Formats: sequence, C-alpha cells, structure tokens
Amino acid sequence: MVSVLYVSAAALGAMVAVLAIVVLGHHVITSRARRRFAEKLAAVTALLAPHVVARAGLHDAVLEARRVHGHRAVATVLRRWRSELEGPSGFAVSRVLVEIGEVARLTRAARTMRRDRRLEAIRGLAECGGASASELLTFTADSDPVAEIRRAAREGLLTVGSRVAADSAVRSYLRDVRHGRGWRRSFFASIAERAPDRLRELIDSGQLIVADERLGLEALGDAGDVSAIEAARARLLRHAPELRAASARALGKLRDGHSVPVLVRLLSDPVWYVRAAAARALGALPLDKSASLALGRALRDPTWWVRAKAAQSLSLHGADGVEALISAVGGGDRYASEMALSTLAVLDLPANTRRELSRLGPLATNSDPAGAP
Amino acid sequence: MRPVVLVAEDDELIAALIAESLRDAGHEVVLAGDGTEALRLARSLQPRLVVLDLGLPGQRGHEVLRALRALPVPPRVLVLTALARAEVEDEIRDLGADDFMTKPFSPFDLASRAGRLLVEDSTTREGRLTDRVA
Repeated sequence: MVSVLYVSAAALGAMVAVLAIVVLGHHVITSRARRRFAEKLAAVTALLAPHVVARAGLHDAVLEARRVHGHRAVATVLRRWRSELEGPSGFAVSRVLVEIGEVARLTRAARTMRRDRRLEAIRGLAECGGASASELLTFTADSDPVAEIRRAAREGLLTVGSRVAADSAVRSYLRDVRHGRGWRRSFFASIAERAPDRLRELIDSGQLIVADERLGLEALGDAGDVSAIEAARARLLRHAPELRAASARALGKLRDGHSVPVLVRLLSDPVWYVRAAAARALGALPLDKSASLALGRALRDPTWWVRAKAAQSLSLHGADGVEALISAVGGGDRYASEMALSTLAVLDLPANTRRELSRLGPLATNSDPAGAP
Repeated sequence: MRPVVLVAEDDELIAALIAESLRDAGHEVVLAGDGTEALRLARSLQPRLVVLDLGLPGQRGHEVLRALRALPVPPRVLVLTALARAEVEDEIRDLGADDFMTKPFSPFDLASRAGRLLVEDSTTREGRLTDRVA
C-alpha cells in the first residue's frame, strides 16, 4: 500500500515537473520571439520614418525593409502610423499598404468564420485607411452578423476620409439595431471629428431619433465645429428638452456670443436640466450686465444643480461674477447664499474678502439631483 | 546650438515618427516613454519645448504638464492627444499648455507648430535678456 502511494506521488511529481518545463519553455520561446519582433519593429521604424516624414522614397525603403525584416514587421509599423497620421503622409502610407499586399492579405483574413480573427482583420483594414479597404468595410458594416465587427467596420469607414465611405458608415448606423449610449456616443464622436459636414446633414435630415440628434449636436460642440452653430441655434427652442439642453451645451462650447439672449431665456425653462445647461453655457460666453444679473438670479433656482452651474459660471466672469456671488451670500436667500459661499470658497480671493466671507457661515454641502439626462 | 525638444510619448512607433518630424525640421530631439522619465529629463536637460502626449503611463499627462509649468525655467508645451473634446482643450490650456494638437496628426503641421513655439520662446528669452541688460 505504501509503495503504491510512493509510486503515485512520484508519478504526480514527474507530471508537475514536465508541465513546469513545458510552461517555462513556452514562456522563454514566446518572450524571445516578442523581443525579436520588437527589435524588428524598432529597425523598421528607424528605416522608414524619414521617408514618411519627407514623403519621398517610401516605396523603395519599404521593399528594402520587407526584404530584411519581413512583411509582418513592416505592415505592423505602417498600419500603426497610418492610424495616427493625416494629410499627405497618411495617404502615402495607405498607398504603400496596398502596394505591399497588406490590404489584400487582410481582405482574405476577413473572410474567416472565426469572429476574433475576422475582427482583427477588420480592425487592421480600418488602420490601413484608403479607398481600397472601404469596399470590404462597407460590406462588413452592413452585413456582418457580429455587432462588434459591424461597429469596427463603421469606425474604419470613417477613417477612410472620403464622402462615399462616410455615407456608408452613416447608412450602416441607421440600419443597425440600436445599441447602448456608449457605442452611439462613440460613433457620433468619430463622425464629428472625421466627417463633420456629413454629421450636420444627418442632424438636419430628420432621420435621427431625438436622443441621437442630441448626441450628434454635443459631439459637434465637443469637436469645436463652429459651422454647427446654426444647427444648434435652430434647436434652442425646440419642443424636446433634451435638444434644448444639448444645443445650449454645444453653443457654450462653440463660444457663440450671439446666443446669449436665448440662453438667458432658457434660464427660465420649465425643465431643470435645460436651465442648468443654459447656466453652464453662459459661463463660457461674454455677458453684458443684464445677462450677468439673470445668471445671478439663477442662484435662487429651486434645483440645486442649476444653482451650482450658475455659481460656477459666475465664478468664470471675473470681478462682475465675483461681485454677484458676494451679493448673493448676503442676499437673504438661503439656496443662493450656500451655493455662492461654496463657490467663493475655492476662488483665489483677496485676504480681507476671504476673512469677511468666513464670518458669514460654513460651506454648504449638497448632493446631486437624480435623473439628469 | 540647436534647441532641445523633449518628446514624451509612450508608443515607441509614434514617438519615432514625431521625433523624425522634429529632426527633419532641424531640432535636437530627446525621447521619454513615461511621465516620470519626462520630468526627470525636463529637469536635467531644460528643453525649450516639450511635445507631451496626455495618455502617458506613470505620471499622467495632466500631472506632468502641471509639474513642467512649475519648473524654474518652464519649457513651452505642445500637447498631443487623441481626445478632441472642447472642454479637454480648455482644461489643458488652463493648465498652461501653449498649443494643442489632436491625433491623427500631420508631421508637417506638428513641425511647423513646434517651430512657431520655439520662435516665440526665443523672442521671450531675448526680451528678458534685454530687460536685464537695460
């Protein structure tokens, strides 16, 4: 019985030892391969970077780099660069990726049934950019059964940079099932950055649901696309409160001073998050005396979030704003006083003003309201 | 002596391209792969310009930017980021960046903006020197 136990333990020990050797060997081999590949990438980078920057002799340099370091290293470097480059250098890299057969290789790889490999190939094609990749990207964005792959193809189409590719991305988005807000926001951020004209048309076309129209407007504001000002102004008085709020936010980001009177009107909107968006937008715009006074009155808004945004905006308007905040502290309205005091507490004020304020009371503490869109 | 430009970018492939764009324009370039190294090199080399990627590992780009502005001789800072949001730009400028570029970028545009910042920096330094002499 004892000898059986010894034999079993020895066999188990031998199996563990063999397994450890296999794992260790695999680790050594793969880390050596990774290190060699990293060395190849560095060598290819050093060889090709001057040609990409100078936009001269790239084709010949790529052929030489491929001969010495292999296709994979060269294609990896060029794809990585292409995804970060714009302008003539980017187009030159796209052209070379076609010439060396990388686009054709990825096109073949994208036909596999394995979804992880297909996704990798589509992402690779998206990195390649250029018109030659867009045919397959369009087909994939419209018809791939996997949502994540359709999304990768749409992102790729937006990096191609042509009107036709942007149209294909939009068509695919409109046809697709609706996804979570994160995915939709990401789509609008991409299109606002890469094809803002197409996004403005889409917003004006009436094809979007209100929630998407809102995301589109905000994305144009984030991207600093001043030609979106007209579209945003046109929605400031729309029926849907999400659109009024999104337009106010976009106009603040786009620094549209002509919208101040309408934004001041929105400080009296029946929906609290529209009032908050207007108050926040006014912080970024030049205000006359009456607009400053209106923002000061928003410190007495029944919703805490609106008061916070009004105080934050007043603090951005220099001496006039600070004056309005100080007068709100001693104005007899508890809401306004609390919010003005907590905003003034973090400003860089003269010592005597600070001493005077500290006598008026402790800082206010508040919680966020629920349900903000 | 050519002015030193420090490039703080963690992606080696992209860093090499940025460095080549600047070298092609005649600048001396030093690379840093994370925020901590960027600050160490900024303190020891006193570069005239730092091209700073916001998504650095180690000390984040925002912290590096703040620390660069607090140096005795603060360099000009050109921020390079994948984030195109207007409020990010405001925040970065508030932290003291001199210019702001989003990825994808054009090497030509990058080199010309870097050149402009270095010219501005030279003018400011010459002005200070003239004031001191006067």
